[in-house]
Amino acid sequence: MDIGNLLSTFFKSAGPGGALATLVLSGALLLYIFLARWIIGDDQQQ
Amino acid sequence: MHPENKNETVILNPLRKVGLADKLLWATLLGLLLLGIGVWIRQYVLGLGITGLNRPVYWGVYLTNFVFFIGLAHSGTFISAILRLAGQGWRKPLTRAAEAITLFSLPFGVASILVDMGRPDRILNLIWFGRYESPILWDVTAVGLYLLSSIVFFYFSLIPDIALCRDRLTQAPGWQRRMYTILALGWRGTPQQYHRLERVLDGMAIFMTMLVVTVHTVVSWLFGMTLQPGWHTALIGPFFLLGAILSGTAAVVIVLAILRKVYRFQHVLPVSLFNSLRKLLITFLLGWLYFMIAEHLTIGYGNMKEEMVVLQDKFSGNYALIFWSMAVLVFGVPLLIFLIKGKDSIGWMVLACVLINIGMWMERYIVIVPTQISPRLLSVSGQGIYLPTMTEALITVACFAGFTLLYAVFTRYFPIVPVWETAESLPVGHEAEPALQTGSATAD
Repeated sequence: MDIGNLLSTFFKSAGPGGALATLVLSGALLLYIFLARWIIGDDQQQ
Repeated sequence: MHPENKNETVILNPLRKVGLADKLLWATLLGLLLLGIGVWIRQYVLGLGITGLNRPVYWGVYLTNFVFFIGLAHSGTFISAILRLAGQGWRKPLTRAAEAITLFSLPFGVASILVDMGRPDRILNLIWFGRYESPILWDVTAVGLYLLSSIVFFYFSLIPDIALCRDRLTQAPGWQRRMYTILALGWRGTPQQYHRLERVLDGMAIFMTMLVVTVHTVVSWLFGMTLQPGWHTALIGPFFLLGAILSGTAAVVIVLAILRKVYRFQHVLPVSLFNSLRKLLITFLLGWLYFMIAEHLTIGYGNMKEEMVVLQDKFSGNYALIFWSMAVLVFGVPLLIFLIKGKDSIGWMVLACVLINIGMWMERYIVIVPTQISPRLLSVSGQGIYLPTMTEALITVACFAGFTLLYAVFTRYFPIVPVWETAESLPVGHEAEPALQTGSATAD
């Protein structure tokens, strides 16, 4: 597989960039929700 | 279980009553904000032609506001995350006040971009057709992640104090108590919860430190990645970053002084805090001067035609007055004040910090506009022209009013000084760091 070509296509194509940006932001949101639940946590189960 | 803090009553006092003066202030600020929104709607209907923007000046006051507000937003992360990692305990009483600046200035930075767009509905094209070739998408990713992470970082450290409000402010209106109950997420203040909270905040501090560097560097690359005179330099990233931290920290001093005066926080925010910030500001000022000289000397020494048009415009042309005023306001006068009058004098410190922020706004303007007036392909001075109109002025006022409004309202419903972080002791099993006590123990 031509990794260089794949990367080049990723950077030059309209669409994948927006998808990655959305993925990064939604991934961070999910992580923060998980962290909030962990902080509050149920001490009985810890 | 709540932490023991001898200043708890003082810190919670502003939350007990919203006075007539508050309502008048809020109404005035809201009026200004609504006026700005109205002007923006008019601009949307009539088009950007009613602003001073034109060919080739596509970025003017709105982009200046964008860079300025994003810069202000660096104060919170700097004070909370970077000083947290450095183990600077004195920062604790002022963390929330600084983080709130971040939280409430970022939306106006983002909004400035939308206002600058003739067709703001096209912002979604960044998602549908986004490509990472464009620095604009770098910016959207970095600023978006920074906004989200700042909200979360701010909220996590606020949870114990929201729970405190839930349990202490029993006389508050029903809606306010319900709000505290919901936002506290059932926090009980057990040692395990404090332990987990500290671990998350420590981890996030590292991430936020990386983000803060990334965000303002990427903001600067919006300019730096174009082949325009005055912008296309590798120094622009650190130069922007240092300017941002300088104006953000200066904003923290102004806000702290107001809070101290209005809410009678003399014992909670001692003069020693301001002296510590003064030392930081002197360091940042000198760093800023270093970058300023390095940037302009390199460009001037190169003597390239397009670069010199912009440089001469700043040094001795149409923008000379703004450029040299900026240098005096950001560096000259504040440094003298800090060195001669600033120690133990909050009034002088505030004056210096106000000057720094006025000067930094001018600095952002002077970075953006002269290059737009004389871009590379029009390398003759004076081909472009830009004069902001009342539309831009009113929208700028609205941004500052909106920021102040959000801040003022927040301080009446949430403790602006963290109770748990400045406590003498936390619940058994999770002792406070010794440094925690410095803020409340040292009073002027």
